[in-house]
Amino acid sequence: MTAESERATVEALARQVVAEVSPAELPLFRATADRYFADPDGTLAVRGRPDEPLGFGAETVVALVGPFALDLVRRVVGRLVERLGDAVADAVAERVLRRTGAGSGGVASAGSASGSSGTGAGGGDSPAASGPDPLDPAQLALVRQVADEEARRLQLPPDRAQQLADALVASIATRG
Amino acid sequence: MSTPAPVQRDADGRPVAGWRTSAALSPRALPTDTSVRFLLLLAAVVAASLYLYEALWVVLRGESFLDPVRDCEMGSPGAADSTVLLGPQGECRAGTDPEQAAFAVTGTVVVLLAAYGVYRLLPLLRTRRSRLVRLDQDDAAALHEDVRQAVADAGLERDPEVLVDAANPAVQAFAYGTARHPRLGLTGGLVVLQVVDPPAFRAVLRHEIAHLANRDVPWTYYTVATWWSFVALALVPVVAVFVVSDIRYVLRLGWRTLLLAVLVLLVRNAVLRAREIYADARAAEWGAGPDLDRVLRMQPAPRGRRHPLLRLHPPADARRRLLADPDGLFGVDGPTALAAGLAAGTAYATIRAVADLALPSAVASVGAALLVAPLLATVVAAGAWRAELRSVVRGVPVPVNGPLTLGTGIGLAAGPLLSFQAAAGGLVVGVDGAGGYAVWAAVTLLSTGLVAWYAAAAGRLAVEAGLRRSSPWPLLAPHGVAVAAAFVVLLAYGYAALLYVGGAGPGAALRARSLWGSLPSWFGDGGLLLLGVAGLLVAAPLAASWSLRGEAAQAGPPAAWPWRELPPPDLPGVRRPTGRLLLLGCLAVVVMAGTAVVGLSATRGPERVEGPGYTVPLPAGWTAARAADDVPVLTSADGSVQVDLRPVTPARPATAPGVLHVGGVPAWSVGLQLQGARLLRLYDLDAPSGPYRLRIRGSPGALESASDALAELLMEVRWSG
Repeated sequence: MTAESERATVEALARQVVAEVSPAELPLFRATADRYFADPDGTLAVRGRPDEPLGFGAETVVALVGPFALDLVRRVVGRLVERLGDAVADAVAERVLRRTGAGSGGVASAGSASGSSGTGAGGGDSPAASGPDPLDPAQLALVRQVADEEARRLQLPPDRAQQLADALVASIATRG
Repeated sequence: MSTPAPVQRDADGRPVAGWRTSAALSPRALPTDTSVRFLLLLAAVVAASLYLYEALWVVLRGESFLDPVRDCEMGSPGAADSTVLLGPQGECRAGTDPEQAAFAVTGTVVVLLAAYGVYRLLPLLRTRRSRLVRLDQDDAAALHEDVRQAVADAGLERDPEVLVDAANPAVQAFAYGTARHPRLGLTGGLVVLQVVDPPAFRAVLRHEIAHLANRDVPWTYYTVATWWSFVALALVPVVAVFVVSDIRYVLRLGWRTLLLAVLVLLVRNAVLRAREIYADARAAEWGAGPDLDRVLRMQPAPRGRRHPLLRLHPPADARRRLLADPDGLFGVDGPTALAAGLAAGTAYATIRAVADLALPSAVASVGAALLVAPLLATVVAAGAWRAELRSVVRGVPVPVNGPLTLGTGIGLAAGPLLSFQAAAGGLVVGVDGAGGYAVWAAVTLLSTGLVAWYAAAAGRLAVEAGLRRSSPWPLLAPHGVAVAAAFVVLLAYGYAALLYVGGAGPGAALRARSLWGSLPSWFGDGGLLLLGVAGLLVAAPLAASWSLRGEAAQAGPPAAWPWRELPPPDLPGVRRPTGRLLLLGCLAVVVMAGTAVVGLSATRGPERVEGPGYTVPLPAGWTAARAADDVPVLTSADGSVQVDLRPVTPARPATAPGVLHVGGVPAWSVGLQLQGARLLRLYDLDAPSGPYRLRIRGSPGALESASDALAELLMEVRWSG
C-alpha cells in the first residue's frame, strides 16, 4: 500500500466516520485532514487561546472528533496492513475509495491494480460489485478488535471513542 | 442604576432639566475616547523613544562635539579675561543641539517605521502560528453566505478574508490583520456552531465584523507593534550602551520603563475591554442583540486567577447588562482619565525637552502642547459629553468633575516624574524637595480641575442645545476645540509657571518676588494665543446658550441622534442655564483680564533691564543687560545669559563641602527657574571649588526677563549640603 493510497483511504474512511458521528464537522474536514497529515501530534493537541485580542468566546469548547477520527483510522489501517498484509489492505482501500468516489485518480488505480489480483470478485451491479471481495468474518472481527484497542488510546471520553470505533468498523464492513 | 430624580417642571407644567425617558441611548450617539487613548499610548512611547535617542546621541557623538565647542569658546575674544568668559558661544554650539534633535527624531521615525513593518508582519505570524487556512467554498457554502451577508449589512469598505483554525475546538472568532487586509479567524468549534446553531454563529460573526467596522484591528495591532519596536530599537540599544558606562542611569530608566510597560499593558487591556462592549453594541444594531445575549449567557465564568484588569474581555454579565441598557457607557471613568493624564504628562515633558534643542523655547513648549493637548482634550471632552447626555436625558446627576479632575490632574502631575526625561534629572527636579513638588502637584490639580469643570459645564450646555438639533456637532465641535485650547495653555504655560511657583524651599520668596517681573516673558509672546483661547472659552458656551433661546428652548422636534430606537422621545422644554452661563462668563472675564494685564506688562519695554551698570569689556554681540549687587548678567543676541558668580559667592566651607545654591536651588537647576531659558553650562573656573559661572540660554523674547529673574535669584548664593 503506497503512502498516497494510505492517506486517501484514511481520509475517506475518516470522513465517513465524521459524517456518522459528528456531521456538523464536515465543513472542516478537508482543512483538518490537511493539517493532520502535516502535523499529527500538533493537530491533536490544539487548544483555544484564552482571551484572544478582539476575540469572542474564548471559554467555550466543543469536542471536535475530526482529528481523532483521522488518528484512529490511520492507526487502525496501519495495524491492518501489519496483520493482514498489503493485499487485504489494498482491497479495503479500493472498496472504500470506490464507494466514496475519492479514488478516481491515481490512488484508485493503485488500489484497483492490487485489488484486482486480490481475493476474488464479488457479485451485484453496484460499482463495488466488480471490485474486490469484502472482508470475511474473521477479518472483520480483527478490524473490530483493533479499532476498539486503538479507540481506547484516544484522548476522548470512552463513549465518544467507542462511537468512533463503531463508525469505523461499520464503514469498513459496508459493502458499498 | 441611579435613583431617578424628581422631574422639574416649568411654569407651564412642562418638564425641564429633569427630563427623563426610558428610551435606550445609542452607544454610538457620541464619540468614544478609545481610539484617542491608543493615540496617547503611542505618544508616550514615541516620547520615550525621542528621549532614548537623545541620550544615545550623547554617547555616540557628544564627545566629538565637546572639544570643538570648548576650543571655539576659548578662542572667543573674552576667553583670556579671567573674570568674564565672553564670546559668541551660541555660535560655537549652533550645530550641536539641532544635530542632537535630528538624531532623536530620526531614531524615533525609525522606530515608527519598524513598528509599521511589525504591524504588517503580525497577521502573517498569527496566520502561521495557528495554521489558519481558507475554508473551501464548496465545503462551507452556508458559512460563506453568512459572512457575505454580515459584511454587506455592515457596509465594510473591504471584505475580510475568512480563515479557519480547523482543529481548534474552541468556539471562538477573532478579528486581526491590517486596515487594508482585514481578516477573520474562526476556530473549528465555531464552524460547528454554524451548523448546529446558526443564529448564535451569526451573532458571534457580527460581533467580529463590528470590530472591523469600528476599526479596532489597526489600532490594537499598531499599538502592540509600536511597543515591541520601541523595546527592540530604542530601549535595548540604549540600555546596552549605558549598562557599561552608567548603571545608575540604567536603573533610573528601568523602573520608568517598567511603569511605561504597565501603563501600556493596562490601558491597552482597558481599551480592548471597552472595544468589546462597543462591538456588542454595534452587532446589536444589526439585529444580533438577542442571540448575542444568549451566547453570552452560555459563556462559563472565566477560568484562572487573572485579575480583571489583565483580561482583554469584560465579564459576560457586564456585557449582557450593557447590551440591554447602554447607559453604563455614558459616564466618566476615573482610571481612564488617570491613564490619559499620565500618558499626556509623560509625552509632553519629553517632547518639549527634545523640541527645545532645536526650536525657540516658546515654540517648543507650544508645539509640544499642540501635539499632546488635543488628545487629552478628546478624552476629557468626550467623557464630559457622554456623561452630561446621560445626566440630561435621565434627569440624574452623573459624576464628571471629580473623576476628570482627580484622574487627569493626578496623571498630569505624576507624568513628568515618570517621563524618561526625569531619569536624567529634568523638569520637576528643580522643585525644592517633596514639599515643593506637593505644592506644584496641588496647583496642577487645581488648574486641571478648572479645565475639567469648564469641560463639564460648557459640555452640558452644548449637549442640551444639541438635543434640539439634527446634529450636535455645530455646538460640540467648538466646545471640544475650546477644551483642547485650554489644555494647550495649561501645558505650554502652566507647567513651567506652576513649577516656578511651586518651589517652596528657601528660594521661594525670591522666586515669588520675581514671578511678577518675569510674567511678560512668560506670556508676552503668547498673548495673542491666550486672547484667542479666552475667546474660544467664551464663544463655545455662548453659542450653545444662544441656540437655547426663545422658542428653541421649548419642546421641539425630537433629535434622532442620541437614541438607539426610533422614533425618538419628544423633547421637553428647558430653562436657559443662566447660573452656569454666569459662572462661565466670570471664568472668561478672569482669563481675559489676566491676558490684558499680562499684555500691559509685556509693553513695559526695555526699561526693566536698566539698572546700575557693571562695566566689563564686552565683545560684539554681548550687552550688559542687567547688573545688581556687583553681579554681571550679560545677554547676547543669540539668547544667552551669562553670569559670573564669584562676586556673590561666599567662601566654600572646607569642612562641609556642599553644592552651590542660587536662589535656593542647586546652581545646576537654575535654568529651570527661568521661564523660557535653560542652563547651557556651568563653568568651573577655579576647579575643584565649584561652579562659579553660569550660562543660560533662552528664546530672544525671554532673554530680558530671564536676566531679570536671574538677578533676583542671585541675591541668595550660598553653599548647601
